[in-house]
Amino acid sequence: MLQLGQLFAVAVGYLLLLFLVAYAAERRWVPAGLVRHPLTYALSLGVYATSWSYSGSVGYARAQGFNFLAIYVGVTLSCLLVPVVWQPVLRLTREHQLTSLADLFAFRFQSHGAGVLVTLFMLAGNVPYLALQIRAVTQGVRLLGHAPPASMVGLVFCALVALFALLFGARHVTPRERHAGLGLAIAFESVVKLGALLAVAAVAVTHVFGGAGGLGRWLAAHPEALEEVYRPVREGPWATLLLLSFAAGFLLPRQFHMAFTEALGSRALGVAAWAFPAFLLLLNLAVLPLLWAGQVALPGVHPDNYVLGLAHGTGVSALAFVGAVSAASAMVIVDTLALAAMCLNHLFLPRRNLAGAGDLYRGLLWARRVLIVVIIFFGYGFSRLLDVRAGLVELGLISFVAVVQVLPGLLAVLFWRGATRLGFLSGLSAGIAVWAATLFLPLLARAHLLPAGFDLAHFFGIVPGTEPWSIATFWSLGLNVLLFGGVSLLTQQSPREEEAAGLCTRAPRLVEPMVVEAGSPRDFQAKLAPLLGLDAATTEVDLALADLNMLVDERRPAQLQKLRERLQRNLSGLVGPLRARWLVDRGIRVDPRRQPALSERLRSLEEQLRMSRAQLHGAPAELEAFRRYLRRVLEDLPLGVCALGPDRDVVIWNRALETLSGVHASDAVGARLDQLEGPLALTLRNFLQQESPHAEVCLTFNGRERVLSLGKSQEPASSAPADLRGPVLLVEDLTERKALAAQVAHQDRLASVGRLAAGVAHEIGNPLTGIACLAQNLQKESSGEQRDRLALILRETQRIDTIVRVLLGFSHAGTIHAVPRFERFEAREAFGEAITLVQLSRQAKRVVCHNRVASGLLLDGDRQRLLQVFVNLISNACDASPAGGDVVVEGEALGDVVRLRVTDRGTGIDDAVRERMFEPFFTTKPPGQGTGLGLPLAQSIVREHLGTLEVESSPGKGTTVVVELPSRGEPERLAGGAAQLQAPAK
Amino acid sequence: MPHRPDHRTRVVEPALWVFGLALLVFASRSRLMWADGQHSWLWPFGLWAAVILVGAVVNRRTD
Repeated sequence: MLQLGQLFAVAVGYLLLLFLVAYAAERRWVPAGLVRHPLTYALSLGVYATSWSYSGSVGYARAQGFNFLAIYVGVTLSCLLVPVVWQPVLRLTREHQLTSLADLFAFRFQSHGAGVLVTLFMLAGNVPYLALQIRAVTQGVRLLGHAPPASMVGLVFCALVALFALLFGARHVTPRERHAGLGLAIAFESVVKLGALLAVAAVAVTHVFGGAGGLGRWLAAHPEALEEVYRPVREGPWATLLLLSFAAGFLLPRQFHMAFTEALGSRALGVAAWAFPAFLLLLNLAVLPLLWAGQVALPGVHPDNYVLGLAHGTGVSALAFVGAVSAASAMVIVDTLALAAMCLNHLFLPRRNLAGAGDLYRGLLWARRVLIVVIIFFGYGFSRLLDVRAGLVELGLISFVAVVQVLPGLLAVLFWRGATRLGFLSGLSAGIAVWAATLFLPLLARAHLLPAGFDLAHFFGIVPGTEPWSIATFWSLGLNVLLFGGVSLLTQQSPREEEAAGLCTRAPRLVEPMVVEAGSPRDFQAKLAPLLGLDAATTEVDLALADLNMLVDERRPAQLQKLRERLQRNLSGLVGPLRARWLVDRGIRVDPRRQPALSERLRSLEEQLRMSRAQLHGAPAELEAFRRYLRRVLEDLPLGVCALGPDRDVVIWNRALETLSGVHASDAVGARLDQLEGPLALTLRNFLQQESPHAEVCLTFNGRERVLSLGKSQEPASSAPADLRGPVLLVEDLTERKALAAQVAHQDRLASVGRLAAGVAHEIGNPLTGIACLAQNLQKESSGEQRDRLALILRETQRIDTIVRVLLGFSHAGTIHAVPRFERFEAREAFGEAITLVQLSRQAKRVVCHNRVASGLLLDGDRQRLLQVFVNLISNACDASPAGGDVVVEGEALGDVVRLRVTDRGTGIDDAVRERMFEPFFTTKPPGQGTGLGLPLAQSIVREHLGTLEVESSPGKGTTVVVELPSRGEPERLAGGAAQLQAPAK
Repeated sequence: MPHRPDHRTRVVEPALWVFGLALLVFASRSRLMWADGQHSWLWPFGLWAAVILVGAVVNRRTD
């Protein structure tokens, strides 16, 4: 026999171990993979198995045979409906931050009364269950050790359990943060009680029957034992027990808390759907062996005490006691946490002024802790007053019948949009009344807490000495469902109920746009501060902003509406759904007189159409398809389109405008035009003020200068509704077109020069010919020095003739109307001509040009156009070179390519200029000295010839321009390339 | 393109079928067949385990 001191040490030691497990999880000494494992979560649902399962099942099996199994098979049936029932409940609790069953019903029926009624009912229905656990522990101590005062054992147990609940179950005030330590500890307790029960069963079977074979032989010798366990299934309240346990599996406060409030997620719930029933199956394998062993070895002992009785005096007595403590403590801890949350939100907070509470979070946490202690010790008090004859199962079933009363309401939450608040309250009240009359009041009467006259069970046909569960369940649930359905059909829902019903049943719903009476998140803080306190208001708004990834300077009405909704949801987890709604409705009002902006109404309408698209048929479906087509056309236009509402809010901001402005549509739509940033937005605002419907502007953004054409629609006819009138702005990027026009103009100028040059050449040519002829004639008649001078005159006239011819040929290349003429020519000769032309200018004369192009190097292409390129490159090189400097022209054949290089030792080009040097109109020369078109033209001509033009340069080290051209390009191919580049875009 | 069944078809209906099967085994009068007292005491546990297993397989397939 264990001494009292030993038992005390075992119990305290075990609870300390539990503390350590929870602490290790909180401090992350235990791998997160184990803490957050789906099997850990599934085992935590094993809190369902309490002292009833540990000890009471054996007693119940004695009285009711296999009916004891119905309490667990019903849970299995419930788990089979995880995808149908549990998952939607999880979604609702997560989305709307509902922390308890009372929160769920208060939210769905938008009724403070529903929350209060469910809270009080759950308290009344579960306090006997709490008392049962405490009593089981005291009975266990009495059985295993001496008979100490039950009050002391119960008090110590309650104190330790309360401490655990305070330390590990009430660390966080919102459901956003799970209690990792609690989950792991409860899972640990499930493993302990399973191990303990199976160990005791194994020891008992071994000691009493000599092993499993011996048990089999005993059963063969006592067939009545099997018949005794099977008969109640055929004759007893099997179906009723299935129904009760079906509901209890997820609606008992402790089950709801672990399954949903402390849930890991949808995937873990899927694993728990089979793992939790598997745990219960293993647990119950021990029950019948324990029953038969107890019947043989402990004939005079109450069956509820068989487990501890059979372990007594064996090596597992301490383990058996630990198992009993484990089964009881888990239930008390979790049930208390669940009931405390309900009491806080529905009994305590509704009357409190939150703003005057100082630190709101600290206040809520301490209120929760006080409630935990009060509830535990209320359960202790009840256990002291209970009729000692009341069995463990009897007390448990009273709670089960209580919990099943909320099953119709839960099913309505998920599947019946038409259920009304009045229907729910009526049905539940009737169910509570019958439950109290048939079960609860008789229990109190038997405990002499009420006069005997309060035993009203006989009014419902319950005869003393019979099982009351079936009748009590039938009448209570029957009246509940009847009134719930009937009153719901006869009453109307409020608009808020309708909205909540839609949210719960996932019906497609249109979020009506509304105008919030706050211009920014900071306004939200200011408006909530008088209701929550400044610190809490600031914290909650910051939290909601972070959840939505929203900036603190957000102004758009649609986003502010989302922020409002998010705030309400977060507050729901803190103070309950109805209080949260009251706070937000009171603090951040909606202006019903103001109509939402056109952009928001359009967004809402498009959302509605998107949701109901599958239900559209015929003409409406076609109209919707046509609307989407027009929308796509607007989006894909190469023209920027910005449509504004009457309040100047952006309704349409298409893709082209996104590219031009750098402002994404998601940032622009819904905002007012004056709220957008950037040079284009500013330009559009200014343009809107002007009277003229057209404008051309030059803007610099993203480091580039762009020429934009702006246009705006005229105001629509007065027949258009006032709320749909608003200007449409069009933005066209003319930059490329302007560059092309400038290129054409330049070509025209060159063509004009060419024509002028032709005339000049003709005028010069005539007298030049005369001079040459005269000089020739005189040379024939002269000799000596005079003859030499005449030869010089002849050479100079030839030189003039060459210059004029080259100039004439070059100017003819500067016309866009000239058809490219491809021919094969010598590169050295072409470069020679280019050098001659360039050195006509005074600047270039100061630079020495070296033509080192290899002789015989041939090029294929339009000679005149390429000459233009060479002149441009050599001219730039000379401009960059100092007086007396060198410009070297080189060329060589490299396989299929001819590489030409023009090198100077000038100032070099820095990276910023090099990035832009091929842009049209970009020049570093002073105004009037450069058009900025030379290099772009040169590059264009080289590309026509399927070549490349690269620049190698660094500041202070000169520049080398490298042109590579195909060396044996067939003229036809080159011509084709040029034609492709010159063809207008289709 | 093959049409992917919606959530209801993929997940809810198989769960309802298994639930119905379990009700048939445990809640209907068919329980008289296995509760006739002629079977081993482990027989209900075997049925229970089979229902759990079928539920787990169906759940896994619809994930």
